[in-house]
Parts: sequence; structure tokens; C-alpha cells
Amino acid sequence: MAYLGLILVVLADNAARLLLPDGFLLQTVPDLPLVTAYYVGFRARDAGSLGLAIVLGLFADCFSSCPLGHFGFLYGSAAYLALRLRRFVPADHYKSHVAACLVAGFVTALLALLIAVVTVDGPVGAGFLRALTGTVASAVAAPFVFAIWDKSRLFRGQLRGSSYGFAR
Amino acid sequence: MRIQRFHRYLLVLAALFVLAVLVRDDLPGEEMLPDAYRAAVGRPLVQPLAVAVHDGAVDAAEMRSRLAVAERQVRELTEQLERAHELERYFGQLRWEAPARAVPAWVFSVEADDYRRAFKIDRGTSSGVNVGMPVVAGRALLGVVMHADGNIATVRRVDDPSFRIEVEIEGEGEVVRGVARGDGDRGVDVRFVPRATALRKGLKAFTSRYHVQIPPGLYVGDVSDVADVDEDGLQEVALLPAAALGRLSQVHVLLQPKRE
Repeated sequence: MAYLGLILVVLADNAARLLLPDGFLLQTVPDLPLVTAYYVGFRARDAGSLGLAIVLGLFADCFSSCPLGHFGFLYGSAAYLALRLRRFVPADHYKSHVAACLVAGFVTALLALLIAVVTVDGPVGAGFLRALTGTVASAVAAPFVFAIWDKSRLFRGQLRGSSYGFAR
Repeated sequence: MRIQRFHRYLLVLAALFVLAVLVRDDLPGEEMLPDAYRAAVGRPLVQPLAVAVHDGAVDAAEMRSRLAVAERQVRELTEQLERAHELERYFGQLRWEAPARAVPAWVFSVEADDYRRAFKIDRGTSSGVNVGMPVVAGRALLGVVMHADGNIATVRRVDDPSFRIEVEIEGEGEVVRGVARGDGDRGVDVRFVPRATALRKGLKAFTSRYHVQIPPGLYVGDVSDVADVDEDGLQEVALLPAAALGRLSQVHVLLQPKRE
């Protein structure tokens, strides 16, 4: 069920971008797969569960023109950052969710910028601004997404740890 | 003193060298040069006047006659050049004279990466769609196919930072060319536009005729801003794309007509 959920997350994000090109929050669409990757990092027992975020990124790669593994790397990095950041904040407060998503999103945007500087033959300034705006929008949407995933318990089996995202 | 054998050899060689220096020709004569070289350096337009001055026989009548010959040659060359340009334009449009086959397609996915502007369509190589083909909405150019699979193709939009295409901007009585490049944010920049052209807002930019797979005359966008001339004597022009790139649903892929 969890992997079906991951596919649905990617499909929902794609549909939102297609139907709402001007966005609905800060003129952009919150990155639902990225927030889900933060959730995985925030709720995982240890780093072994971060494979779920990488699989989510691989699903996202199927709908992208980027090389395979681009989003797998970015979402895996985002989840790992969230995993490290949660030591410093209370786990069940919405402010900590927003703060962790902001910090991890900013670092992820820098990582994406580095990749873009190497792979994109052209100006990347507009893309970086869009990435920063998307980070803020995703952080604002994070508490709602966290609440939905907590309520649904969709990824509970995969987040028990030491299974690389695969339920035992 | 007895001269050793080795020294005799040296003397003979030295004598041969002196003999060769005495009988050598300084430069090869013009008759020794190949015909192509003589034709290249002959400079038929300049040489008659130069020779007349060099010989000291500065005859005004002869100078005028030589000048008339040179002017006639320049006129002939100019006419030949214009005919070559006409032929170039004709053959550029001839590729697309037959009606191009347009394959309709639905956009089903847009790019999620912030640094790329692309979308996917539900047509691929099974429908004849291949890399490099233009994707349009009406006569407005939306992008170019960058990857094609069996039933899916990825289209790079005109505002993608990696997108490049030569465009023609129809100015007042003249057409200027430049290289269009996406700015990554629903805009197109045209670079390498030559100086001394009266560009202003509202002029239209079209695809030029120098593409193999993209027909000439596709509407790329309107001039929205004209930058000052830089130190290289070139201008940069900003374009507003012809189509609303964010709201795409049904598009057409133009397949180049096959010539019999």
C-alpha cells in the first residue's frame, strides 16, 4: 500500500502542476513529494528507512526530463537532512515541521542548484528563485501533509527502521 | 701539408655549396606557381589600378577605364550574391512547401524540476514523432521534441534555459536575426542581434529558414524589451512567448513532409 501511496503522491503533484500552472500558494505549487520525503526523514526510526524517499524520487524521475536518479538523490538527501534535524526540535509540533522543512529545503535547493550549474546550459537564476519560493510554500504546507500521513498510517510499516524502506 | 681524406670531402661539399648559392634563384617565378595560387592572389579588381600607378604612367583616361571595369565587376558580383540569397531562401522554404503533417497530442505531464521547462505528450515514435521536431499551438512555437519513446515524447519548451533557435525579427523595412534562448521563467531572450537596427516593442519574431526540421515563419513571440548595444556592438532583445506556456493541453507536432 505504501508504494501505491508514493505513486499517488507523484501523480497528485503532477496533476496539480498541470492544472494549476500559476500555483495557489506564493504563486507556486507546494512540492508534495518533497514534503513526503521530509516526513519520511522525520518519522523514520533510523537511516535504513530512507530508501522509501529514494524510491519516491525514482517515481518522480519517471515524470521528469532529468536523468534517472536526479530526484532520487534529492529526495533521499532531503529525508536524510530531516532525519538529522529532528534531534534538535520536538517531533510532534507543527513549528518544528515547518522549521525542518525550511532548513532541509534550503539545503536541497542548493544541491539542486549545484546539479543545475553542471547540467543546464543556460541561466539558472530564475530556477533558483523558483526553488526558494517552492521551499517556503512546501514548508507552509508541511504541517497539513504531516497530519494527513500521520492519520493515514500509510508508511508506518516502512518506517520501522533498518529495512531500507521495505516492510518486514 | 697533406690533406686528409675527410678534409677533402669537406672541401668538395663547401665548393658545391658555394656553387649552389651562386646559381640559385631567389624566388620561384610566377610561372612556377600553381594556377589556383595565381588566381587567388591575382586580385583582378585591384591589380589593374595598382599597376597603372606603380609604372608611373598615371593616365587619367586609362584610370577611368580601369575603374569602370572594376565597378562593373563589383556590380556583377553583387547581383550574383543577391541571386544566391534568393536561391537560399527558396530552398529553405522548399523543404516545407508541401503541407506538413501535424500530429495532435495531449500534454499529460509538466516538468517538476525548477531548472528545466519541459512537458510530456502522449505521442512518440509510433506516431512518427522524433527528436528535433517542432511542437506548436496554431502557428505559435511551443518547443522542440528532445526525447521520444514509443508512445511518449518529452518536449523542451522555448523558455527552457537550454533551448536555442535562430529567429528573425521583422523590423521597419529590415529583418534582423538572432539566437533565441529561454530565460527559464516563461520568457525568451534573443542574443547576438546586430547593431543599427530599429528594434522596438511589439515587433514579432519568427523562426528563420535555416533549420532543417523547423519550418520558417513559426511565431515565436513579441519583442517586450530591447537592451542597449553592448561593447561588442550587439543587442539583446527580450521576447514574450507567443503562447501561454503554462496552460497547455492539446498541441501539435509538425512532421516534416517527405519529398518524392
